[in-house]
Amino acid sequence: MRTIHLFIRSLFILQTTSCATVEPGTATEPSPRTPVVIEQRPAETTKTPVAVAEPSKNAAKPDATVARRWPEITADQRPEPSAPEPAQKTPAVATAPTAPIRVTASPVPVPPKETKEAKETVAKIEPPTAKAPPQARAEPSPPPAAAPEPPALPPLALAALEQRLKDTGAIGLFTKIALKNQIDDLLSQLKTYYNGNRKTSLTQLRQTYDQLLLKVHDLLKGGDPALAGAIMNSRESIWTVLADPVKFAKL
Amino acid sequence: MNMIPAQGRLLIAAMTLLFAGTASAADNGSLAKDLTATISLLGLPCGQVVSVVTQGNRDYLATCSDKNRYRVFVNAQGRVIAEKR
Repeated sequence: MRTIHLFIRSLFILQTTSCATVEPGTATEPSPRTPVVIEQRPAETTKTPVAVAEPSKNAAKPDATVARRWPEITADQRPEPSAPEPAQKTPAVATAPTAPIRVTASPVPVPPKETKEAKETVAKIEPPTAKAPPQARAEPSPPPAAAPEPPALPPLALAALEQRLKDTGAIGLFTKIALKNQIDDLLSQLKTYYNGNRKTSLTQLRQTYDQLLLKVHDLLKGGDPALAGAIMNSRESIWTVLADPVKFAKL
Repeated sequence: MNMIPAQGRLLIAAMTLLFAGTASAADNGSLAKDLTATISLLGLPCGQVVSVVTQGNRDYLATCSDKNRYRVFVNAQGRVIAEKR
């Protein structure tokens, strides 16, 4: 009985001493003899049994953490050394092609989608710029169309013009005589010019001629606008006759 | 004329004077405009002729709105002359 009692005490003492060495709250490492129960995560294991764990936690030593958490992983299932390497540099990059992970901060790598999008945008931008120059070039090609000149009245013969001026009722007798006097003065100056007396230049005579026609136009525009317009339209043709000594001599 | 009664004669004379006066007024209006255009064509200051006094054949004395007075006439050479009075 004593021997049994002593045996029981020794066992009790051994148990108590073993419990005292362990700190409260910490998980005890399983002994090699005790069975290991591993809780498998069905979501990760089904997709990628070799998938890298959360990048934030395994940035430093992915291999060790993998080994600790997945002790049952065999050599065949271990990821290739190349796969986790990019994970070290860019832990956000996913090794599995089926699980894309966004890049949070990675200056070196550029997502392929973004590059494609940039290329597309550049391609979109380029054609308009390419089209712009031809359009810009095309715009000045049509020259600014000049304002269409109004249809000018046919130049009247000098004789007919003189007769109409005599017969018009827009101006009185004294005005007609005064106009005739000034036209005779201009003709005498032109005759003197063509005879060799060059006191007055042809330019000055042209100015006198223009002023006279303006006076006639002002007198006729109220009472006889048709004759006033005809005279102004014939201004150049009349001067061509006056400026030509041969034609002038025939007047 | 002896066949026309006296009253008829008076009536005819009155009508003649009446229409003659209006005709002369019309003539004076057109003459004033004519003289105004002539004076301006000659380059003289006048504004507008307000009164015309006939001095002879194609000889008139024109009074302008700006108080200028001109004798406008046709000389022997057929030229229109405007002399300031």
